[in-house]
Amino acid sequence: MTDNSKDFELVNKYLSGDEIAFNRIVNKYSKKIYWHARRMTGNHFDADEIVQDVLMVLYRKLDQFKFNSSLYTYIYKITVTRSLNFIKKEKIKRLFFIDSKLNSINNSEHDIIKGILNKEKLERLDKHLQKLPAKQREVFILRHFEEMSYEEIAEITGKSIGGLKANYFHALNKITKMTNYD
Amino acid sequence: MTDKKLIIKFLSDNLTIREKNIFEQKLNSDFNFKNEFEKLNSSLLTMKKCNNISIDETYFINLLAGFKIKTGNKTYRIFKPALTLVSTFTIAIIVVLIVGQNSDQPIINPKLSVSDLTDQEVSYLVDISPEELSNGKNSYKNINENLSNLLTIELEISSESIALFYEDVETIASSISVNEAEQIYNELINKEFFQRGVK
Repeated sequence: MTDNSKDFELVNKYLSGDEIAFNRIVNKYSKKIYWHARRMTGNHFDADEIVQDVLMVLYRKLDQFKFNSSLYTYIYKITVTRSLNFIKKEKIKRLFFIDSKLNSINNSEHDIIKGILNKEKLERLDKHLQKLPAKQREVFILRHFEEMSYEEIAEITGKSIGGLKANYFHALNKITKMTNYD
Repeated sequence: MTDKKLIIKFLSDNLTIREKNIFEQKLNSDFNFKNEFEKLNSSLLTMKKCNNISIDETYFINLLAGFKIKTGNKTYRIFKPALTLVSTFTIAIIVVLIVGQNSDQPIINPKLSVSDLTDQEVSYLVDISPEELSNGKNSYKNINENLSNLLTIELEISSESIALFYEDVETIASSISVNEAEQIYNELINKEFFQRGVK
């Protein structure tokens, strides 16, 4: 049985009332959701909020899954959209000075990264990623970290392959300037 | 075009076939260019290694439990009338369990666990249509009357026991631990009957 048909079986089981099937879907994809959200937002606190949001959408709207794409793509579509929406909302909040101080306190308290060195390494990376515009960051994360092809990214984001290539080029150009490479 | 720009164009798959050929020829013949390419590539690989950072796995283990509690909270906000019923019904189930253990009266329906009840049974026993429930037309009193019928008629528990139940309802409610109440609540809330108002 392929990974896709296993996923479809889990979705069907969940839709017929099997809660354990939903738990299995969450166990399988929660790390991917988390790391995408984490790289997009640059901190654990916001990433956790996005993960909860994505799980809620899945829990309530999995009956709208059409079985014409993989579950993996479907979950990524939700994650990518929710992450971008979250970033937009945060921008607006920051504009009106809402919540920013509270978040920075919570971030340091509840991070899941083990070890100071690891934390520093990730903080450095986050700092660079956060300097990229959200859409370039999104393409960079999907291609560089999640190793997706442009075709897969196009299916998830609904953008043209040409546009994605241009975004990735600019992101790569900026990242290499920011890192020690130069 | 600078060497760096050419390398980035190659890495982002932005070169034409002709440009790609030129790139490969240059990579094989120009030592400095090859060095530049390897340096940039290794810098990107180092960045990618952040994928292997050690993390606290308990976050992912607890994620589902936390989410289920959150799901319960959101349902509460959206569907308050259902919660009134749920809390009353929860108490009733506990009482059925307690009375069932002490009473000499035979209990016809042996389904004492909420998880054993089908959605139709829940709907039938409580005798409230989802529409009425979501409109909030049923008062707490009506729900209690329905529960009284459930206990006396459907489950054949004596009315004396029921009277005791109404006197002791607060004591019983306070004796349920948070975990027990949450477990019963989760069982009930996952029933299709209670999900209608949410979806």
